[in-house]
Amino acid sequence: MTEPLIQIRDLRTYLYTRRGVVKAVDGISFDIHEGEIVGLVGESGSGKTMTSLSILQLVPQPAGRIVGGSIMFEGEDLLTLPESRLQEIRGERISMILQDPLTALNPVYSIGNQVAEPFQFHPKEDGRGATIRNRVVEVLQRVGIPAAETRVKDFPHQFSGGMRQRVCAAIAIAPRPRLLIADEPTTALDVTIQAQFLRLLKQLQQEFNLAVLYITHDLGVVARLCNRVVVMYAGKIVETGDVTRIYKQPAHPYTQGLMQSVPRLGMKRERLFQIQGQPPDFLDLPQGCPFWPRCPQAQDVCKVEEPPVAAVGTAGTVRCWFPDLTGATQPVSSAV
Amino acid sequence: MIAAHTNGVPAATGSAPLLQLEEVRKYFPVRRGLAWWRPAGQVKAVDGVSLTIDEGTTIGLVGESGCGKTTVAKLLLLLETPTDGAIRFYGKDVRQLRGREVQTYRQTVQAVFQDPFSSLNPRMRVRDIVAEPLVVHTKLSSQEVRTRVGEVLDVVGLSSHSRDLFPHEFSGGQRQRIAIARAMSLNPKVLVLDEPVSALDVSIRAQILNLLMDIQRQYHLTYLLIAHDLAIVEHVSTLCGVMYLGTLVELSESRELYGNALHPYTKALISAVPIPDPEANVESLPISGEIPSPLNPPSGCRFHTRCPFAMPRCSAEIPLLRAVQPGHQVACHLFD
Ligand SMILES: Nc1ncnc2c1ncn2[C@@H]1O[C@H](COP(=O)(O)OP(=O)(O)O)[C@@H](O)[C@H]1O
Ligand SMILES: Nc1ncnc2c1ncn2[C@@H]1O[C@H](COP(=O)(O)OP(=O)(O)O)[C@@H](O)[C@H]1O
Ligand code: SF4
Ligand SMILES: [Mg+2]
Ligand SMILES: [Mg+2]
Repeated sequence: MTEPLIQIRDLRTYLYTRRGVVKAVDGISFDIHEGEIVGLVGESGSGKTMTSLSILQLVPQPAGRIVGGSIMFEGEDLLTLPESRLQEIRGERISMILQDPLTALNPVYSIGNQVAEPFQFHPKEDGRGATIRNRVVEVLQRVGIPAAETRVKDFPHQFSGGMRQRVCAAIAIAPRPRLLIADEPTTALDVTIQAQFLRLLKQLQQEFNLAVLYITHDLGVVARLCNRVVVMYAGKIVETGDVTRIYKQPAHPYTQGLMQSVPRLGMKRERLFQIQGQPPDFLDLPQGCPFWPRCPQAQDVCKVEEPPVAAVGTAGTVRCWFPDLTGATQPVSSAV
Repeated sequence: MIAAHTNGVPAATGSAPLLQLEEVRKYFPVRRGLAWWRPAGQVKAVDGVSLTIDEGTTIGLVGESGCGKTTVAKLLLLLETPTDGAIRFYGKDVRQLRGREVQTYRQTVQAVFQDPFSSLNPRMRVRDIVAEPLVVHTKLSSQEVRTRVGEVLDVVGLSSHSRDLFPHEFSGGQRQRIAIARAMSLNPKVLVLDEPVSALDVSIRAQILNLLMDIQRQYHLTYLLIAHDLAIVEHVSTLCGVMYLGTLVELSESRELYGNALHPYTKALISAVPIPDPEANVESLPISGEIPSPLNPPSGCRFHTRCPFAMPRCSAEIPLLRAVQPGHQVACHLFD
């Protein structure tokens, strides 16, 4: 396999709050390859957003600090770069789409001005001498904004939620980045509008051979979009793997619980499988495996010692004392 | 659970159903700018919905945001009055209920809303939140109230030590249990559940859905379950209605609806929902376009602007909801 586009190793991002230290990202490692869509899943508060903000080094100040690890991207460790170099990378090589496009867009500038911004800061000759305005219209058309020539003059509040998210996608892809981070971009959208956005994202990803880190808590969206999956729980990665294997033969008890607890269309059952207990509290994490208080497989060792990481399936990992490794022995076809 | 009080529900008379909506309409006047006294138009939030809710059943309502689901809920809870049409309670128009009858109705029909954060008073302790409806609506002694509060908190699975805590000390799932306990305190017959699990994490949703199904069976409750997640509605409901821009476009047994959806909007909705199976996740009927404004809804069939099967007739004539098979109604000219 070729070198990964981005290699995250033992990343630790802590938040120093009045109530104590929140180890929001606690020693995570994973790769994303060129042209691959990796889904980062986990319940709210598991550390997904902190992971993405750590990659761009935009963790909230002054509470947040990256305290360890490395992020190798195109031959450089992002964690050692000066701010000036980071600014070039953000927006030009790595861009981001956020959950709420209203906070990402500036209400007082026209859509056209905001889409033009990356062209002004990162001028790239395309040999056709196209003016910035033409390129803005072109990219808005590319993301499916109807009547883009006239709508460049409009302001964000004149766009619907779905159209605003398309504008954010336009801003994100305009500089031709290598990696796109999308943090729950469809959570606020209706399901038919979400479907349209996911279709667009997949087209753009294929057209530009983009690598995408797609953050969501929706297991359906991951199944529709992603090639590989990273599952987080309480700041740690509990499982990674090929999407087919993760859905067919999840190895970690938490992943298994998630897969079984979602109601599926056309599968009427009396009761749903349920994961017991409540989500973990970062300031009061149990010793050993953070999942043990909710885990049906837990044994004494889980309550005292951190579980080891084992290999499972095609280039997959699982962090558990008693993983279900049936998926490890069977060849699993890898998507893409 | 014992009924510590009688709730004086009229005996089911003959064949009159528990609740019935007859051609119910709710229009909201919209005022613009400074001319607040001059309505600029009307939002047809609910526009001619007919629905029969039989005892012991669960009616599911799905549809994208703004289609009128919450307005239907509010009409049933007497929080809004219909602009036109009637809501019948055992055959009697709710507008004709007087004094004690209104109170009886309000005790009989209780609600649980999406956001347990805003629906619970942050300054009240759990036991007082749950006791409040009993204090307001009944003449129980404080000892009887305490007993009753203990009972319903047991029913929803909240431990006794949690009774003296405040809402913010609970996770989202636990808060929703408090809201369910409060709704159950008056021994209602009907629960109106408006997106009860939408704000919850996947691992907690199954717990709350199971709890709702358990108490329904135990206390022979009737549910109106509103959700935008088709899989949840299908899993829990007996009958399922699909709404689009204030109208009911399809109504059928839940199983039938998923296996044999007829309305093009229902089909599009089902195919837009990403399902948690990477191998079966294709959009069979992708639709484009956005939901039109309810201020100026399309003529004829309201879906005709987005419908892949639209015929000339569709923009001219409003299709009526009619039975095409026993227990399966659809409003679409393709089935006339
Ligand atoms: N600005 C902040 N200050 C303190 N704690 C924070 C801040 N932002 C997030 N956290 C905490 O960090 C943890 C991880 O948060 P986050 O990465 O946003 O989770 P996710 O995106 O998976 O929902 C959570 O427990 C959250 O409460
Ligand atoms: N009090 C109100 N005043 C004006 N418009 C309203 C009011 N309540 C709801 N609406 C409008 O009615 C339509 C239906 O709203 P709602 O019933 O909340 O839909 P849903 O719950 O399906 O998302 C929306 O267009 C909404 O903006
Ligand atoms: S390590 Fe133990 S407690 Fe943790 S997930 Fe595995 S079996 Fe469960
Ligand atoms: Mg987040
Ligand atoms: Mg609503």
